[in-house]
Amino acid sequence: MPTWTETIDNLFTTTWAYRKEGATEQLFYSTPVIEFLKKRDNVKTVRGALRLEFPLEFANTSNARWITKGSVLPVTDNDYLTEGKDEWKYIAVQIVRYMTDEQKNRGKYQAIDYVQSKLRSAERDLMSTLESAIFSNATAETINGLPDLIKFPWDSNNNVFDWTGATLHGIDQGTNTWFRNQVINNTDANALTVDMRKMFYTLKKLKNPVLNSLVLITNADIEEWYESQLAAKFQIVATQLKGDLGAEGPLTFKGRPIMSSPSAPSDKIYFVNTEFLKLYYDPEYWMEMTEWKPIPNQAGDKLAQIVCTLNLVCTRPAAQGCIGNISL
Amino acid sequence: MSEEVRNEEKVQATEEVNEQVNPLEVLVDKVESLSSKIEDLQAKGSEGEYLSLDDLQDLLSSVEDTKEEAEKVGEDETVRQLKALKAQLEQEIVNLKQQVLEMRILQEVEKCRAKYKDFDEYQKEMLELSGVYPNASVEDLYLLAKAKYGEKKSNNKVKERKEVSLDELRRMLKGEKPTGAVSTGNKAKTALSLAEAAAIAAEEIFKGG
Repeated sequence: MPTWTETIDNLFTTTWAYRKEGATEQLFYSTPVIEFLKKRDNVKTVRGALRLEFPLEFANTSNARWITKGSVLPVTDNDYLTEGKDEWKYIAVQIVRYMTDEQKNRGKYQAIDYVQSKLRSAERDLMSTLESAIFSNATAETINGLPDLIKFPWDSNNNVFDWTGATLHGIDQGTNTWFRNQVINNTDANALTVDMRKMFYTLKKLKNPVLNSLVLITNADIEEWYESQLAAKFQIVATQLKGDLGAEGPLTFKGRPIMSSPSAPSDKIYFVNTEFLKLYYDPEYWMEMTEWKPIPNQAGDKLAQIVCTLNLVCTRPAAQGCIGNISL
Repeated sequence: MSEEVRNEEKVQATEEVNEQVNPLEVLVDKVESLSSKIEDLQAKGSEGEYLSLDDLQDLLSSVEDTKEEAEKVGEDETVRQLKALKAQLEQEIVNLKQQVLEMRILQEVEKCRAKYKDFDEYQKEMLELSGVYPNASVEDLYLLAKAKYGEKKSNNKVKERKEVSLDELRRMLKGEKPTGAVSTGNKAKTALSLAEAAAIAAEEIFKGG
């Protein structure tokens, strides 16, 4: 007969085994960026590699030709692909159990509530940590964030963009201009819509721009400003007695969704092309709960971790854009 | 010999001389007119107008005749020009035949699509079969594909239906979806909510007491 604490161990592990898939879905849908990547089928699995290696795209093969009878097609494959490399990053959320709580929650239904409450809190931690990492610079521990993948290297002393020393996936963006994303410095908030249009057409000028997978990500203040700009242009359709003075559903810019995320910076709009952004994760080390370990010098208290292995990469920075220095 | 007769002889002699010069001029004229006709046809084709196969074949036979004439006269340069024209025309004919074939296939596809509702489901299979039976019509390819792979596809559909009904059943057995779990945006039908997962786990762990 297992002890109560062993029963709780088992309940946590079994609940998590059943919940893992749902928690994964939840995590992927919890932030706009990952949600759009998921929709675009760009959340990919890689099992057990030393590091992440992925093809980068920066041109076409230019091998398509108009032909007539007997024409010969070029057999040389242009070097349009090169390889990017990056490291796996690991995120772990800790679940701590106190003996006193276990003792108080004795009984089947109390135990279920207790486990749910602890795991729910762990899931939320994971979501918020991931969401915040997406808008932060990578560190030795954290994944690549949008500031790494879609840079805004503004040198405010000289009022120029300075790409010196910028690197992404092992490629020097200072010398390899083809591996830079598009940038616009917004000098006047009144001209932000003009800059947005300018960015859109800059991206459109690229060969094969795949603009249908473009998503604009910003913070809530800029999204609110955008809605206020639209307010005068809303069409009121009175078909029944109900009213809504705000926009329903996500706002769009040229048909592309514009959404906010809590940790997004207040001075930037990211033009994220989800076709060329990928989230890699290792399914073998994904949402894995470790065994329960006793905490030294704390009678009966235990802890376990839920570990995820992932990183975010960009295969074509030129198709991404950032408008920065927005001051509303 | 009267003056009149002499004049007549002069005219005849001049005509004879002219006759000796004329074949070359005629040849040059013919080549020029053929070249301009081909250019016209090419312009017509590149503007998207339909070229007539008969026109092209008439032109080809004219070029062939003119080439023979030039060979008789020994006009090497003209023969070379005509050979180039002939090659151009033959190419145009090949292109046109290809276009006609493509149009015919497209028409057949549209016809079959209208006739058979599941036509598009067999695209991949039809493509495979077209490699084996290159002369089969589109309709024959569809019927072949359906006969060969139809059973497999309908089995998949039955399986799909079965899975959906099992899923429904599972949900019914479990009762109403708990609202306490984190539910926003959970779009996976098969993924369990936290409350569902905890309930199933508890059933397993606390069974028998």
